[in-house]
Amino acid sequence: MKKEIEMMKRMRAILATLPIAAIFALTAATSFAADNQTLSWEFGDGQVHGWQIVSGEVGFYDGGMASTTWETRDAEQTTFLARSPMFRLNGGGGLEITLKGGMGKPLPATAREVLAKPQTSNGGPMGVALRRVTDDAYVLFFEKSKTHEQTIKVAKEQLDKLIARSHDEVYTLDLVDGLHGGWGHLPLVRASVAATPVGLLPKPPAGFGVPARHLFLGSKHGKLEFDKKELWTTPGSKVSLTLFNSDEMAHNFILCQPGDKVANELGEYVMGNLAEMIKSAYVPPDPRVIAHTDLVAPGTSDTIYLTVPNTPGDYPYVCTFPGHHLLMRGVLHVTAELPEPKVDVLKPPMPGDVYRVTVTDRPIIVRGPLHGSGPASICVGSLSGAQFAFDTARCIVAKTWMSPNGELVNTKPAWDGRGGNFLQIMGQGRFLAAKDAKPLDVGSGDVAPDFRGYEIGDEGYPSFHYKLGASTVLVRIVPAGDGLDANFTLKPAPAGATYTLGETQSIGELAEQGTAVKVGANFTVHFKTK
Amino acid sequence: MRIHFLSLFAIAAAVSCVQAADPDYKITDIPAPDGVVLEVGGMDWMPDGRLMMCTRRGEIWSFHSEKAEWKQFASGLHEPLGLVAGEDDSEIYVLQRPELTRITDTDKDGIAERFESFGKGWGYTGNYHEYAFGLVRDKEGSFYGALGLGFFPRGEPFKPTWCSHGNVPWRGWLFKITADGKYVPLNPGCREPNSVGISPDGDVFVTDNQGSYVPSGVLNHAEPGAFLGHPDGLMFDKRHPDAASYDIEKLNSLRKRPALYLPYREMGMSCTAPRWDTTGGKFGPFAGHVLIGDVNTPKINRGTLEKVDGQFQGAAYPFIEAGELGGGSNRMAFHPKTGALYVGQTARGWGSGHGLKMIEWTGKTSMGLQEVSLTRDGFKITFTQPAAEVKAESFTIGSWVPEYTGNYGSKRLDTKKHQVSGVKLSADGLVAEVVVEGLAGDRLFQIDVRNVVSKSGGAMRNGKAYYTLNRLRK
Repeated sequence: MKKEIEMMKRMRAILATLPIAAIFALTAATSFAADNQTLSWEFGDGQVHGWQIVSGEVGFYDGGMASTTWETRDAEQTTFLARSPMFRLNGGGGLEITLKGGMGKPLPATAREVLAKPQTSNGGPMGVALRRVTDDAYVLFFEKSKTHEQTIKVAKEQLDKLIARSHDEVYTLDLVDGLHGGWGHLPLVRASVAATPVGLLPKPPAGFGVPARHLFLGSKHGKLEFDKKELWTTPGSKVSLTLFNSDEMAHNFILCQPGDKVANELGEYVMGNLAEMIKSAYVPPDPRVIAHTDLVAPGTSDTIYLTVPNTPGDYPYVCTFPGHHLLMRGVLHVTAELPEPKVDVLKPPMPGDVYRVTVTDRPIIVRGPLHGSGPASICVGSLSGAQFAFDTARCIVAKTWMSPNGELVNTKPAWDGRGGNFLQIMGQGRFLAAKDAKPLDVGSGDVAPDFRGYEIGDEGYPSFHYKLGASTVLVRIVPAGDGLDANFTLKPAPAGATYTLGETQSIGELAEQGTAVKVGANFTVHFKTK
Repeated sequence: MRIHFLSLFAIAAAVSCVQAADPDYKITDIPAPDGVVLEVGGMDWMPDGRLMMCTRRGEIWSFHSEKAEWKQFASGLHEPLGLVAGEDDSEIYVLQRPELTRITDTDKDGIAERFESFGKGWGYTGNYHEYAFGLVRDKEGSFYGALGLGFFPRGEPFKPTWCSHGNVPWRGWLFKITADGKYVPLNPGCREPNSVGISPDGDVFVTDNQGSYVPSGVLNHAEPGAFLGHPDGLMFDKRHPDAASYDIEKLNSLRKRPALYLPYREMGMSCTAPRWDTTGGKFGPFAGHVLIGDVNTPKINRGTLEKVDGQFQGAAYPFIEAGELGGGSNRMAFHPKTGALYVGQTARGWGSGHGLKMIEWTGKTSMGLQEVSLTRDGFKITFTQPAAEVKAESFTIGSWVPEYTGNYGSKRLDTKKHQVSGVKLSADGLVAEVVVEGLAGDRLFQIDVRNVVSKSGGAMRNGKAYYTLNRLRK
């Protein structure tokens, strides 16, 4: 029994180091080629299939890999993070992920943040992210939009956008479960992605230790540029840096001491001493060179290990292959606090993904329940960013708001899952009508308006019409000047009809709130939104 | 909480036994344009051959079946769940949450400009459960729809949860809007009636979803004035000013029994709009039968109706249960020429699946149940192919009383097994008449003939039927 326990202890010790150790190999530079390989993992058999458990404890539920802590939900738990082996997208297809279980908050921007934030009850993020290894950024993340099984697909075209930005970028898939205190769990049933595994990096030199960070650099095809002009790491950190070269000519990577002219001078030295430089992979004998790769032939890569200087600063890097130094350069920022990575997060095209309705080239109408306006409101987004909601129950402009970037409403509360929550305006609220507001008085006493519909004009703006007492009212609301003009037509126009101005409203010169303006058959109420 | 989770597993297990494909029907997925989330709420054929669909996101899309062309007709609508073609290709009627809207393309450029508030009259608070389901039209030009109850935890006055509020009129009612736009409430008693249908003879029916006071999915006949089961609508029924005081026995005595019960789980969990097969044989040998889809499971069920004592009752049969159908079969419409069945899907919030499918008859019909009807002492069972032989043992017959209760989820009360004491098979092998002991009214009968084999050796496919026996034949 004791012997078995000893063996178990040793095995566990080996297994604990295995995921980290597994990235190193005995071979040197790896050769690679883009292909139509698809990496896929199925977790129904209770195995981790090479995924690294970065944090937390793994278990298997519901046919998938998940955090083992979900059954003891009420206690605070360590965030669970499982990470796939590294890969590069090869453009051969898309990405598909099948998840079960529940929903949590969206993932933050980086893997660092996921692990750094202490998790509170019911507040944690849950999802799967496509992580860019070099800066830990979550460039693509999937949150479930419903409970139970959901398969999320990302089309090849979306991944092609990522590849276009950076051909040799290295990614992992991160499964994150930071939800505690509730019944949420997030089994990953299967994942597949059109990608080529990065495989094993060459071993670091003896005594180097374990790198804190893996940086990956590639080249932009057909242009003499690195795919990333900026890299980040902390002072004194141990990093690996791999230069993939899938271009048609050779490249190298030289990290230099800070200075505006260093990269240029190194490049010019190479140009002026070609015969000598050919023999030393185009690396000048300059004390400002901190580290460098070999000359990397097309279709190959080279990995170096270095301990970054302790002094914070901007360290230039450059390719000094003759003529490349002018464009093929970047900066390694050595800084104690790593910034939020600059990333265009690609939201996966999940059902119900496009919730934030934004006006682009034509006015947009969204009808639904809107806070402050009512359950049957018609929201209109204009080309000027002046937005409004017409409440069809009270037949008034109930709300206006301003959104310079054209956003109208967030429909997720109403359109996600079973819906049931009210639309939210996006932008700055400008006017909100009082609950019992009845600005237009046609002398019919306290009669309720009868909404009759709307007609969309040539430019895409609706004209609403309703009956109020004996009159039919037509209201055409369009952007004008610093806001909106509501152009009213009354048929017939009763003598003594008045319109009482609310906040932000004016008729001609009259702008004082509460003024009951005498109106005829045609009049315009201006709503200021800017 | 834990029990809830386990029961979900049980449901998953129960519905997992569907095959991938159907032997008699070919199912084709018709993909919507990229980026379009086609959560179909209503559909109808336009005169020019376009299938017009409204989606829960407020969009109206047309699909021309021959040109395979998609075009957006309109947007900005409020979760429309019913659509009927208008007078010509430029006009449609759409049932939105707060109103029935007539939508017209006034300049015939393919995009709608006019949105007329054609008919309204009911209250709506914004509660997600307050759907307005529809939409069909009768020969006089009146439109029919039905209103779902709101979901308010600790609701009143009828507990537990589904209810209407006193100042939110007509929730739970089936209504019509006449050709000149007048709102007429017709039948109280609906819970989540998704949706109305009209038989070829012009009778209006409405399905309802299992929950409080609705023992399972049902198809109700909207007999003029009838109370269809859920008491919340009675709050607005002038005939019942004291409805709030009615107990379960009183309600049970007042309610009209469903024409068809669709047993919970065996026939899905959330039934949708009924559609009658008017293809005259192009969709198989079930002309005149009614089809009912399901939101949660990949099922379309079939039903046959007959009148006993002047009231509709009949049998429900599992029909298409193919994994490739996917979930969310919400609305159906037969192509006016080809007889293919187009299925508009959405399940968001209660399952997965959305989009458009086309189902075509392969020309083949496996051995199965054509129809089960009631005789004075048993059932008359018609097969789709001549049966090899039948004995009393070929028929397993059971019955129960679906419990009418305010609880969410009802039991099968007084389950019984029934002996078959006589069997007669017609000379051509197509019709078996069985004498069943203990035949009684107000019960749901399960008729299982799965072991019957056709003369050519074909095994029974879907050899189960559920007969809603409200009344015996005299």
